[in-house]
Amino acid sequence: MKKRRPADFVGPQTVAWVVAGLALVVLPHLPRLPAWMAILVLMIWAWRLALVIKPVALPSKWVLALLALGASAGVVASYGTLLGRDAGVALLNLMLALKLLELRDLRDAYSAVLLGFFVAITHFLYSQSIPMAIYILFVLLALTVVLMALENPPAGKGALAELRPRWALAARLLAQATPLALVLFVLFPRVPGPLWSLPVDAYQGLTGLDDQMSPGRISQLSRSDAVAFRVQFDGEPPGAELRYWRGPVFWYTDGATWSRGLRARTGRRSDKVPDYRGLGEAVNYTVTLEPHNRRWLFALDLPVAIPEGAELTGDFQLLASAKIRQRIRYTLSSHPRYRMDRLGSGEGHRGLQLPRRVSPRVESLVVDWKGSALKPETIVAKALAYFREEPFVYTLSPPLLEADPVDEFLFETRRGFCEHYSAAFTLLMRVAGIPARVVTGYQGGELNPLGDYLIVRQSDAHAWSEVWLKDRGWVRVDPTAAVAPERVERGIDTTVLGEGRPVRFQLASGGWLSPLLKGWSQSCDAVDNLWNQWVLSYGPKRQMQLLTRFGFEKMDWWGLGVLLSAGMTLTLLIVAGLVLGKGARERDAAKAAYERFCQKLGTKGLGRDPTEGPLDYSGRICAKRPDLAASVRCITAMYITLRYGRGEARSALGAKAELGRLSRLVRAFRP
Amino acid sequence: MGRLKGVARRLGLARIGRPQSGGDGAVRLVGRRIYILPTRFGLAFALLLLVMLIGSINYSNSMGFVLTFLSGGVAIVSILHTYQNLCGLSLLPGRSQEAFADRPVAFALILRNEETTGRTGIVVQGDGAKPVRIDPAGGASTEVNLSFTGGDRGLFSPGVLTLSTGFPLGLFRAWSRVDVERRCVVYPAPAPRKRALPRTSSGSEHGLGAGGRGVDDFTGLRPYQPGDSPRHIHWKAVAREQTLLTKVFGGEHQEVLHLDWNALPGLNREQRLSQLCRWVLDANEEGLDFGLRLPDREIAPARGEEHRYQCLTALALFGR
Repeated sequence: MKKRRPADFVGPQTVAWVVAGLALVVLPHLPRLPAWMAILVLMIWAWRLALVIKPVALPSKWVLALLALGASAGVVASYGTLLGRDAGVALLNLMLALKLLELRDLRDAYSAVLLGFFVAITHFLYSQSIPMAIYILFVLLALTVVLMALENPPAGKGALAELRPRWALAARLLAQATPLALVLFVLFPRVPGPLWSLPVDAYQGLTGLDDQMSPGRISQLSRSDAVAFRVQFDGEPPGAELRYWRGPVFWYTDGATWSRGLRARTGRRSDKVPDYRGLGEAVNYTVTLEPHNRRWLFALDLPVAIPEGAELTGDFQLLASAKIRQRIRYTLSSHPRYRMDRLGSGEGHRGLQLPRRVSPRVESLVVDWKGSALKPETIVAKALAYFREEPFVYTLSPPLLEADPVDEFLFETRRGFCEHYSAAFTLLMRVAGIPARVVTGYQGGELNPLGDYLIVRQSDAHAWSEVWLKDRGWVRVDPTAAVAPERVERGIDTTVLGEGRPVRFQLASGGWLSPLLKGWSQSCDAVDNLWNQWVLSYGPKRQMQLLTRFGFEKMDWWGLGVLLSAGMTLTLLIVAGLVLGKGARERDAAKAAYERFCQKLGTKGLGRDPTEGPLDYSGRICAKRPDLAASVRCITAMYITLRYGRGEARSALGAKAELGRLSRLVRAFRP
Repeated sequence: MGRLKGVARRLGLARIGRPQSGGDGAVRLVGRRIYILPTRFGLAFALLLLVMLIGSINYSNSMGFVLTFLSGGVAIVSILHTYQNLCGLSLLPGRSQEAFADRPVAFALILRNEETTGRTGIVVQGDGAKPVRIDPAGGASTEVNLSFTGGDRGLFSPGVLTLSTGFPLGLFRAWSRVDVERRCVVYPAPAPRKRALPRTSSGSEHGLGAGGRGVDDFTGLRPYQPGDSPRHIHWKAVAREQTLLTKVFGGEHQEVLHLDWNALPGLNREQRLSQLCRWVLDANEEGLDFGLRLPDREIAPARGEEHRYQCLTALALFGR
C-alpha cells in the first residue's frame, strides 16, 4: 500500500468545508429517500461533523464495509432492486455519506467531490424547474470553492476566514465558463436518446390517465396540481363548455372497472374511422404535452387534422406511435361541434356490453324510464334528472364501494366523483338499450393571459359519457354537469380538499388577495413555459430549427462538429484574452513611459542597468545629477505606484489619470 | 588571494555576507518555458464529465447538459488561471547561508513577482530537497529556502529547480524548470572539538609580549574592526553609549597559528580537512591570526571574515 505523505493529509478546517459543500449537494435528495435512509444519512453526516470538531480516529475499513453492505441490503429491501433511478440515487447518497467517513487524505477528498458532482446531476432526474436549476448552480459554486480549498487549504482562524475571496474567484470562473457552456449547449450534437434501454422505474414519476378506470383512480389524479399540457390557440379559444380533451375511451366493463376492450389492447385498429361532419369553424391549436408514459395525445373533441406520426382510433382517440416520455409539441385542429351519421362497425355491439350481473334495482329504474317514453333523448334526460333531483354529492373522496359499485353508488352512498357518475350513467344507458361508452380525458383549463395559452392540469382530469343517438351520432353527455354544473365552468380548487367533503371549485374572483396570488402563479407559469420551450425542450429538432434559421441547412455530424470546434475555439480565445490580458495593458503603458524616461537619461550616459531596480536607479541619478533629483524622484514614485501598487482601491479612472500624468511628466523631462 | 578571488568570481560562487551583485541573471518564467498538463484528478474529472454527458444524452435531460457543460467550462477556464499563476514570476539566486557538509544545505532563492496580482500555491522543488510552498504577494520578492540533504564538500549545485502550481482547482498542473546557475561552496564538516589548536611556542598565553608587558595587560583602545573577538570589546564604553572599542593588549606580537596539513599524520585526506576546518573556525572565534598550509597552496596568516572565508573555501575545494 502506498505510504501516505504527510502533506497529503487534509486538515480539519478543509474537511469541514468539504463536508459542508457536499451537504448542500445531498440536501434536496433527503425528502425523496425513505425515512430510515434519510435518518441514517443525517446521522452519518452528524458523526463526521462531530469528528471534525473533536478529532477521534475515523472508523476502520471493516466498520465501513459492514455499513456499506448493510446499506445496500436496505436499499434492495426498500426498492426491490439496486438499479433504477430511485434505488440508484439512494445508493449514491449512502456511498457519499460513507465516503465522508473515510475522508483522510487528499485522494479521498477528491473522490468524494467527484461523487458529489455526480449526485448533483441526479437532481435533474426529478425536477428541471427554474428554482432547482438555480440551486444546482449554487451547488456548483460550492463544489468549486471546495476544490479550491483542497488545492490551497485555508489557514486562517475559523472556518469562514477565507471564504469570501474563494467564493469571488469561483463566481469569476463560472462567469468566464458561461460563454463556453452556452456554445456547447447550442452546438453540441444532440444525439437522440436513450442510448440504451433505461431501467423500468425511470418514468415512475410520470403521472397521467390510466388505460383503465375504476372508482377512485381519477379522483386520485385530480389531487395533483401538476401541469398535464398547455395549449396555444390560433385565435379565440373555445368556451369552457366545449373544452373537452379526449383521452382513453372505455368500452368494456366488469361492473367495477372500465377498460378499452380486447381490440384496443391488441393494438389493432380494425374499424375505419367513421365519417363525421364538422359543424361551424374548426379550431387550430398547438399542444405542449408533458410526459406521462402512455401513448395518449390529447385533442379537443373532435380532431380533424392530426399531427404526423399519430393515429386516430375508431373512437376518435389520438394515439402516438410510442409512449410519451418527453415533453412534445404537436399542432392540430378540431371541430368542437360535429355530427355523425353512422355507427362504426361493431360499435353498436360493444356499446351495449353489460357486466355479468346487473343489479335488479338498476334494471327496475331503467324499466321505469323506458316505460314512459321510447325516445332515447328522453331517457337521457330522465337519467340526468335522476342525478339532479336525488341527493347526489360530488366529492373527491367518496366512501369505498364494495360488491356492486354502480348499485351502491346510485341507491345508497350517492357520493362520488366524475368516474362514478360517468360509469353509472353509461351503465344505465346500456341497460336501456342505448349504445354508450365512457370517455376519459381532461375538461377545462385555465387561461393564462400573460402567455396567451391554456393550462390544463391533472386536477382537470375528467370522465364523461357518450351515447349514440340516431340522428346525431355519438353525443357527449356529462353527468357531472347535472350534479355540479360549476365543474364545467371552473377547475377544482385543490387547496381545499377534505375527506368526504364536497368539492370546492376555483373562485372566479374574491377580494384582492386571490387575484394577486393568481396573477403571481400565472406569471410563474408563463416563465416556466418559456423555460420549458426554450431550454428544456432543446433537442435534436430544435437544434436543427435554430441552425436553419441561421443559415446552416442540413447539417450532418461532421459539419456540426466543425461548427462546434470553431465556436469553442473562438470563445476560448476571447475568454483567454480577457483573463490573461487583464491589467497587462495598463502595466505596459506605465512600463513604456518609464522606458522612455530611462532612454532619455541613457542619451546622457545615465542609462539604467537592466537589472537595476527603479529605486536604486533613482538614487544613483539623484546622487550624480542633483539638479534632476526632484523630477526623477517624482517620476519614479509614480511609476512604482502604477506598476506595483497593490491593495489600494484604485479605480480605473484614477489609474488612467495617473498614467496620463506620468506620460506628460516623462515627455517634459529633459536631462 | 587575488587569484582565488578571481577564480571564485569566475565560478560564480555565492559569497557570505556579500550583497547580490546582479551578475547572475534572474530567470523569468514566460510562455515558452511553462508547460501545463492535467493532473490525475483532472483526468478523473474528465471521465466524470463524460459519464455525466452520457447520462444526460440517455435521459435527454437538458439541465444535465447544462451542468455538464458548465463544469467542463469551469475546468477549461481554470487552465488559463493556472497558467497565469505561474507566468511572469522570476527566480533569482539569493543570499545563501554557510553550508557545511554534515548539515543540510540551505539554498536561498528569491522569487520575484513583478505583477500586481498575488500568486497562490507556488511550489518550488529541487532534486534532493523538500518542496517548499509559497504565496508570493503582488509586486514583492519572497525568499525561499530549499533544504538539500546529502551534500558533500565542494561546489554544490542545486541542479534544475522546478516551479509548479495547481491553482486554482487542482485540475491542471503548470510547471517550469529553471536552472539558476548558481552554485555554493560547501565546507567540509568540522571535526568534533577534541584536538586543541596547534599553538606555536612563540607568544604563549602566559609569556611576555614584545612590549614588555604580559599579553593580558591592557595597553589601549582602538576602534572596533569586524573580526575582533567579542571578549576584547570594551563593554563599559558601550554601556556609556560610546562606539564599539576594542581593547588592545600588550604586545603587538599577537599569537599566530599555523594550521598545517602536514601536522596531522595518521589521518586521511578528508579527516585532515575536517580537522583543519575545525581549527579555522576555532581560531577565528578566538580572534587569533592564523595561516593555512595545504599541499597545493599556502594562505598567509591574517584575521577577519574575508580570511576565514578564503581558508574555508580552500579547504572545501581542495583536490576538486
